[in-house]
Amino acid sequence: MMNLALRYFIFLLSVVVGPSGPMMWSVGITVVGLVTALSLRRSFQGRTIVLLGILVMMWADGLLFVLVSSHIYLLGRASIHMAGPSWNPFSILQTVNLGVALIGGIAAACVGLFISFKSSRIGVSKMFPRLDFLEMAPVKIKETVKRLSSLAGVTPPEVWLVDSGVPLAFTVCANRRYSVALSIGLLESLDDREIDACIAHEISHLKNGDFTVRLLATLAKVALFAKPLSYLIEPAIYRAREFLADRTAAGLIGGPDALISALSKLKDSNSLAAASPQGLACVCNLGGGKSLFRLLDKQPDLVTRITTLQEMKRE
Amino acid sequence: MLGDLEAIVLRQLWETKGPISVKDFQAIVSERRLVAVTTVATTLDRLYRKGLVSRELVREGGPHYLYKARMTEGEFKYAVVDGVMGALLESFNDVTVAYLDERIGTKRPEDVRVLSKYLNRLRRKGNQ
Repeated sequence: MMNLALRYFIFLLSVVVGPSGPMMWSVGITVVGLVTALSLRRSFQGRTIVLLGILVMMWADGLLFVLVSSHIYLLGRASIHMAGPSWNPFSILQTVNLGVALIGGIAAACVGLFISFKSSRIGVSKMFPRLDFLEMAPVKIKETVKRLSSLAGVTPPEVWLVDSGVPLAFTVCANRRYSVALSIGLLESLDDREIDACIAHEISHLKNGDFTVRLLATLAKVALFAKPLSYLIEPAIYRAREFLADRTAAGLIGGPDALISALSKLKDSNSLAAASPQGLACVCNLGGGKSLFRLLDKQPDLVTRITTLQEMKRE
Repeated sequence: MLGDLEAIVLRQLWETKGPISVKDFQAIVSERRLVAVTTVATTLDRLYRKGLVSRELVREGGPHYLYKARMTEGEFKYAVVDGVMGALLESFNDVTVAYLDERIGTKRPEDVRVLSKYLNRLRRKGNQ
């Protein structure tokens, strides 16, 4: 009885921590993974891979390991199980866990289909019903986009102007094309060098394949909807991609100075809310996070981004 | 009705009169108070959404807006008073009278004189 209570407790603990194998091995791997991800201060790519790995392991654990372990468990306890309808909380929880992993997997597949369907059908202006888009971007901006895209080795995205005085810059995937949107407020309050830096940041998102990474992270979170830890890991991946995009952008424009000064200007007017898209859309946004609880923020705050860029300058 | 920064920006806009770009405007405002150009842009956008300023998009020299106030200071004050007094007169009743009695009845005899002057004028209008 004592033994059962202990295992029941460990099981509950591991459900809350994230993975839910009946033994602590997966909890251990998660902790080691998180520590590794945090210690990878320089390599945001490495951090992304480790964090995505944890998410994948957490889901596979819910599915495969429970199957395997319950099999072993059943073999060991075959006599008890076959003896009749004896109620065992341990095996019931395992079954629940397996079901949750399966439901999560199906939900993730549905969400994935929905997102790809939606982003292939819906236009940029429909995705942001609260924003007005002007199609004609100035030639200078288009040329910058073209130049930086060829430098990064990506297909040049479309450029849209947003009819708003609030400084905004974001990239969306709509109509099977990538579009970079810049607001009039951004163009009129930053100088040319800083505007180039913002464009470089957005193009870096395309270069680093951030839309794919984000989609994977989001789907993993949906699949792991019952695991609290995934709600922290997904935004952490988003933040790592922002830092990586900053670093790539600095490489594209030959140094982080212009990006630093652009971010310091944007820091004073936080305007993320104005650009929140409708429903589930793939958007990379140049702007700071402002949630009460920073660990849940998908955008790192601008001050941290600036200091990270300054560190990079010193290296 | 207006935030702190919005009031400052609107007042400055009345002073400068003609249409003005965000950059020029920030240069003027920052002589008195340290504000980032992005803050000015955001504040002007907010005033635009409130319908207090108008703007036009200019494409030459990089796309930018030229902002100007939609009403003069007098018109704005009239609109504010109209908003408050209109609501007050709409539901003119004992509460309004009691409020006036409490606020200015004994403490500010000067205001009572002004009010009775207005009342007399209104009375004359009513008799015509």
